[in-house]
Amino acid sequence: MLIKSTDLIALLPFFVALVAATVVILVDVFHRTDKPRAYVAHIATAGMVLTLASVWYMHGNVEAGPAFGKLIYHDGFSTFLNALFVLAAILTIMVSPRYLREHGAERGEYYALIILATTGMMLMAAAGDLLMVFLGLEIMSIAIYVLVGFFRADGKSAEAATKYFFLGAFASAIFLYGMALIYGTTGGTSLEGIAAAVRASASSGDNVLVHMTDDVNATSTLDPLFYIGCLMLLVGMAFKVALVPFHMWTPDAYTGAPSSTVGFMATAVKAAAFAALIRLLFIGLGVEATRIDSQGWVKMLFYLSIITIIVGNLMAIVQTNVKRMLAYSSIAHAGYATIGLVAAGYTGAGAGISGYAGASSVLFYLLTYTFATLGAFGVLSYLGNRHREVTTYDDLSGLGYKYPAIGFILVVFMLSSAGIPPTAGFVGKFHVFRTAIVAGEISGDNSFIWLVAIAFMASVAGAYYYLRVVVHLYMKESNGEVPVLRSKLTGFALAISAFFTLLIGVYPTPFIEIASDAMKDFQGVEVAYGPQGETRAAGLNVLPEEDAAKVEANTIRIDPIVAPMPDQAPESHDGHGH
Amino acid sequence: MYEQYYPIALVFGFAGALVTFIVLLSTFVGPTKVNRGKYKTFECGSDPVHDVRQRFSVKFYVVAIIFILFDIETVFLYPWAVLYKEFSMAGLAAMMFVEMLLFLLVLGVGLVYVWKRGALEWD
Repeated sequence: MLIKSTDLIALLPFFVALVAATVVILVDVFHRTDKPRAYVAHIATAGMVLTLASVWYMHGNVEAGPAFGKLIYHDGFSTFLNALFVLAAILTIMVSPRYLREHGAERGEYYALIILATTGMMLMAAAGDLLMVFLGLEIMSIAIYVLVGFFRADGKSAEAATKYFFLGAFASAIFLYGMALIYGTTGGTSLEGIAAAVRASASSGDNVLVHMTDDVNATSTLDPLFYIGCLMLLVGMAFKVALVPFHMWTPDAYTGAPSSTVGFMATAVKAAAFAALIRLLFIGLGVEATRIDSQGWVKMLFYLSIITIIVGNLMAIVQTNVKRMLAYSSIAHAGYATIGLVAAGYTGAGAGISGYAGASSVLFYLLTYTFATLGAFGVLSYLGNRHREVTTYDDLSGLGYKYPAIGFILVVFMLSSAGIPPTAGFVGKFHVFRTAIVAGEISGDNSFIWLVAIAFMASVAGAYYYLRVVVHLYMKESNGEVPVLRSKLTGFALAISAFFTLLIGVYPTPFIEIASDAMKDFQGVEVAYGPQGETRAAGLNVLPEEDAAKVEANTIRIDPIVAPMPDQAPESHDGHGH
Repeated sequence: MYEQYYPIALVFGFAGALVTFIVLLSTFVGPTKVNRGKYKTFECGSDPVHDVRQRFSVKFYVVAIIFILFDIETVFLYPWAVLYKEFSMAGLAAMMFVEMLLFLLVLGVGLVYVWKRGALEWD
């Protein structure tokens, strides 16, 4: 792979964000301690706004396509998610300064870390190669670990950071091991290369990826190690998304971390993990053999989403701490979004029927979820001060009358999270559920009806704990004085979140269209429902003949590390070649 | 057929001879005043054999982390320097040069940061 200088333009948003982070950290470090440093946050915000502008510029002026030999993609998908991450970062930065000053942790590193985490997320959403996914994942994760422990003097914050760091590092290691296994069995780390290798093995019947097996009835011709690798990749991502068996860190980390950080963690980090999952699952593992097979990931995500929704909602009911409740609610929301993934996987990413609709319903769900959850945690950081923290339901009692505006805004976020119209959450849930039902109709699989029925019942149960917040705000006696931070910037950010939550709820069409446009030029693998290898829809990205031949030539051998490349040019640094 | 290894053998031989010479020289010529400190681990700070629960300053970790940072810089610089000629033959000299400058710039910012934050001061 040789780098073309035209590839560099694909890096524009990353560059802008990196420069912003660098400027922020330099400005802060040269800052004199005796002066107020609110302006650092303004510089950070300006940097993120510039990043947003560069994302917008790329959307209009740079042709979509892969760059750096398919290490990264620039397409509607990455544009949509980049915009989402940057928006979340801007809102987080706006919420933070007053809160940080109140808790004696007003340091410029906070904003630099938020921007760096955003850069990592953008890389995850753009990645077309397992290595890039991992790189983005780590850039994001390390910054977030530090942000969780940002209140250094606070024991709870340190505990949260330690727990999150250890489990997160473990999940990263599992993800990395999965990468190694997949590289070992397919000979490539590029997502399209993996797909081509799998497809080649499935259609040739040569069992190219297989250890010899005596079982003639084996449904799959793929090496079991390949499936173990896929499983490990899924586990690594499920950890970041907090799907249920991998959710244990969530309540503790969310409770201990600074509220302003938690909003960012619960929304942008999850969105980034979902973005990487969509790329991974629909490009790399999008071939039918890895998808619908008895060992395929669709079935696994199907059951994961069911447990996640049930456990998330039930555990949230018994919480007395609002932050913990929101943590479990964010787990449940990850489950709802996963339904969209399952639906998309079942109907086929490239089938052109509703596969992309499924993925775009996930994107839309993430959008609605981001505003509501970011807002809810923003309100929690706005209420209370360093002497009087607002953590339990009882602390919220009667606040709706004392602070009508903030009460109203919190109610909007709660209604949206519960999925009650006219808020964004309702439309998001509706969209995801509908996609699942359509997927069931297309595939003729009744289990989708059950999936949606379970999700529906669970979200009714979920209304209990969301509405409990409303009950406490308006129908309970106030107990004691609860101060608020009185920051115009924070208030403004919360108002924006509430405005969008209501706007998407009342007039969702343009936002749904943006989300489905985002999937239009997604370079998924074509899914063959007919004869193998047949391209179903025009305009999908198919590997050029010689690329597919290369991958095939590589994968015939069990041990690709020693596989020689017959036609490899000496200056080629292609990932498949080794 | 082993001609190309002669220089390596020469280096090994020379290095061995030099070390032997210096050690012997200091043994015979240097003053020998023995005290407790002389028998302790040389330079590295902590005893190699001691109780597990011995504590030592967190400052060591800061130094170690900063060291790793700049060590990695070297790790990246070497392959870049080795491959630079090939890149320039492929017409990518300017880009590769600017890229490395950017990398060094980022590291430089890191250095400025740790410097100003006082991480390089021991006390």
